[in-house]
Amino acid sequence: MNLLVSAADHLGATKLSTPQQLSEFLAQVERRAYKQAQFAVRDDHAALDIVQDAMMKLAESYGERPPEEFPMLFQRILQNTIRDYYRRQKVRSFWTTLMSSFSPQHESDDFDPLDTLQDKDNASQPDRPDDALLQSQLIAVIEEALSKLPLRQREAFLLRYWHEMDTAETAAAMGCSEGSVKTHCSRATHALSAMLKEKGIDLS
Amino acid sequence: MKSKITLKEIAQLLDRSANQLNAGSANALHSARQLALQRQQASTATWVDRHGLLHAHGTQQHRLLNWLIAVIVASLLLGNIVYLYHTSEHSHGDIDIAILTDDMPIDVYVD
Repeated sequence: MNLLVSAADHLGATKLSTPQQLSEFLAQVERRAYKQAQFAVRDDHAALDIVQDAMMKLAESYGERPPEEFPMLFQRILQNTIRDYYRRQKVRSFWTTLMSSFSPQHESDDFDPLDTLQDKDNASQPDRPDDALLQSQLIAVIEEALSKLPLRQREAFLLRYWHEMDTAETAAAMGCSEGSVKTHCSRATHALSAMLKEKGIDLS
Repeated sequence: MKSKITLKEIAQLLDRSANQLNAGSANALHSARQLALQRQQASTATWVDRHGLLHAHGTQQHRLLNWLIAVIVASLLLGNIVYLYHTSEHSHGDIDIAILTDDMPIDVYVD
């Protein structure tokens, strides 16, 4: 396949992707991307906005690139969009803090980490109610632990172990060295293991 | 709750969680995907030739436009050069005639 692509490149013609291929790719990754954004920003609407932005950027700027480049490009765009969101939040929170210091202190209910533990109403539950409950509890514990990880560690962990990218691919998607990926993954696994242990779960 | 878990099982549980998205989020993602695809189609129209290679209509149009701009700029430059050449030749001609007819303006001798 690589040979074919390089041969085509050599002849001056690159095999471009079709809208159908892009559609299939996006359909394949959209749910995972949404979860990734959700772990990072802990806000459903913001996560949806981030995924939509990332999809549009991919389609607009790289929509005609060969399909095998999509996963790496999309991950890179998604991570950058999440980082942009953090930056905007930082600026917003700076001004909010500044303005709130001039106004009376009436703290409204801000983000509550326990909100992320609430299970959504969904139709696709396992057959047995006990199993379903246990599974949803386990998922909630894992997701909570993941959302507590630092951004880069979570990125590395999810790309390596959820998206099953190898170290080189993860490094390319994250824009860092393979050594950094290994460090991030190792730290993420240790932190996750410690957090799960607190809940009585051993990560092996 | 399960007391032991592996990284692979974590990945499976995350997949399960992603597949259990509520209908609202799933619909929103579907709409986002459609919107993104419209953007792609708007930016480039593509077609497949008989060898199975895809060509972008948009890129060809851009290339044509670039060539057109280059041709216009080149012709403007050429026109400018020709005009300058002719005007300078004309002014030299005037001086030559003035020299021949001994009708030179006084400031020519001042230098």
